[in-house]
Amino acid sequence: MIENPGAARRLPYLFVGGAAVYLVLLTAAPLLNGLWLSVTDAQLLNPTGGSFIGFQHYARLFGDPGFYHSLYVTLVYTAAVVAGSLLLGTVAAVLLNRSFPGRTAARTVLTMPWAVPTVAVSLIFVWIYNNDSGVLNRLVRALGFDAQGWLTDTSWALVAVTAASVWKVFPFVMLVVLAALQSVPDELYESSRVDGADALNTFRQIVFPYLLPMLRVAALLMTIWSLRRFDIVWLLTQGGPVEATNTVVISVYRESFINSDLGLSAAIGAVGLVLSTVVTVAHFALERRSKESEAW
Amino acid sequence: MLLGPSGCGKSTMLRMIAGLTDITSGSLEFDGRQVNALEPRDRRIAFVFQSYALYPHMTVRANIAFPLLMNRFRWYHHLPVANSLMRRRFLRDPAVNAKVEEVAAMMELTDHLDRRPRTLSGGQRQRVAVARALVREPALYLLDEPLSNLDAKLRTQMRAEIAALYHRVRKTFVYVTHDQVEAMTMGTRIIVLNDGTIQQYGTPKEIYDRPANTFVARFIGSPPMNLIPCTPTGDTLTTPGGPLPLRAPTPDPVLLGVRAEKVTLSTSPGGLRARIVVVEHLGAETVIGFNLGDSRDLHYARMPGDVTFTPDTTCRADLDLNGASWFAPETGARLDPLL
Repeated sequence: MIENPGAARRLPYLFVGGAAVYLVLLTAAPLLNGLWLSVTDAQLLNPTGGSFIGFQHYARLFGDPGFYHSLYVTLVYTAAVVAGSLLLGTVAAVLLNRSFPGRTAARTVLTMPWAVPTVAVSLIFVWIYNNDSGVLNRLVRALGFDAQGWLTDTSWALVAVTAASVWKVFPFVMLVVLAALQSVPDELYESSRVDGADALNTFRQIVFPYLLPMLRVAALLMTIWSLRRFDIVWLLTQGGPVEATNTVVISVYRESFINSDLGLSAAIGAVGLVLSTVVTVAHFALERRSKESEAW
Repeated sequence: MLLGPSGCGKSTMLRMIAGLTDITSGSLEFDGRQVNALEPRDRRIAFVFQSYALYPHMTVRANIAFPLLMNRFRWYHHLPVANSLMRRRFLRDPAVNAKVEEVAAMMELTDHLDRRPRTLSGGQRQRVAVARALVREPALYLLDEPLSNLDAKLRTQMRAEIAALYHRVRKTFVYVTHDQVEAMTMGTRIIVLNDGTIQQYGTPKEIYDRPANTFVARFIGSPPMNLIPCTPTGDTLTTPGGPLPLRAPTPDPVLLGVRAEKVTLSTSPGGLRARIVVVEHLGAETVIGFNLGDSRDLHYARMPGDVTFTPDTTCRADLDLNGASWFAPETGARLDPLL
């Protein structure tokens, strides 16, 4: 019991104070610093020595076709990873929600890609995609097709990176959907059976609406994570070949640590931030609209 | 009516009739046709679940129309464009709307058709569940404890509504309940189940008046039937409260079954020695629990509401033995043959 009314008034601020300090120090301050850097000519070797140059970096970016290409690559990669992981994760969850011998083992195995470090995943895929000795090319040859340079061919590199990314992240969607599936009451399945629905209709009409809120959250997280994913893309292709997989985040890294242009890098980062913000706002707007709209 | 205590197998039996639980042995026939292998949707049944099982994301209208939509569904409607076209045409179909509105009117749901289940009261949800069953016009209605989630007042109201509905649609209803009042008031035929075994099948009156065994005798009726251990001695019976001038159907010890309303307690001489244990005033009547003689077995008498008895006092118990039941103490089976 708190007797002192002044202390009682201060207590809530004390509780949120820790988190607020954490957010200010580790999120808001670096964010503002990044925005400041984007309007300076700061260099990597002298990060604090940049002088204000206005919106020159932004003007340069929006006049550069390469930047538009990296935006395009980012959006294609994000859309493909989100769609692929939602589809694969949902299918895996629906299958794992059924009862069959070895289900627990299957769940463990299918969750593993999420648990394995990205570096290890990337190495595995470098081997799988190897032009000469990779499993994929052996399979392709066995099927009577020509071997491909999965990571070296500009028409395949983005597909290959996307596939590796989907493999890495789909277990997250699978676990989320599995949890949502387990919240569907058994009576609804039974009721739809009595009402004449087949398995596909039961899923589409009854189960899917249950999954929708969770799928929306998973889609938002997947989108944000894909927009800013660096590790797997860098480890597989370093943005190549010929910038075929050069996402916005790869550009940020290149400008910072290879070209040492911290200011330009910060400007690219700021555009990436706007992208993430647009996605998040769109998500909440869609959610509100779907809550307001009536089901059939 | 499938009546029995929790875990006796009544819901399992209902689910087997519906096709929701596989039948491991035996044959299930509808009108002479074996249906063991038929899917629930092909059995022409409707099932009302204890938890209502309404589709939460659909409006009341969509919930009621869902079986009709599924009835019209063909495999090619799974194709994306065909699906939305079919659904749009279905929703605009005057026959569908007329049917849904007719059933909704019957269940007094007309004003709630565009609401979601979560905005409805328990009684309204129950009505939607029944409406969804009605719209299919099935040959058989299966109801699994449909009133058990409702409060006492609403339960009485819905009991009357379901009974009225039964008389209106004139189809077979199979109704699972553990509540004997529901079974006795709504049922035309009752199956009493215990431990997965049918104990008795009959009309409510047969089951009340002539229970097949001591389980049914104790399970049906509130308070339960009094079972008094007796030893026949010539033309009399020796009971814990004294002798009774009655001849038993067997020379061996028996249990005499007498309903509480056939017992009259008084302080005047005659009858059996009794000691009052508990007095429950229920307004119109008083239920009195008593022991006979030195026995610790609790028996009951149902007396008018204005009687005044005090616990821990002695009295005399007069039994009206007209229509009394006899049971074998070891097996619990009824000793006189069933009619």
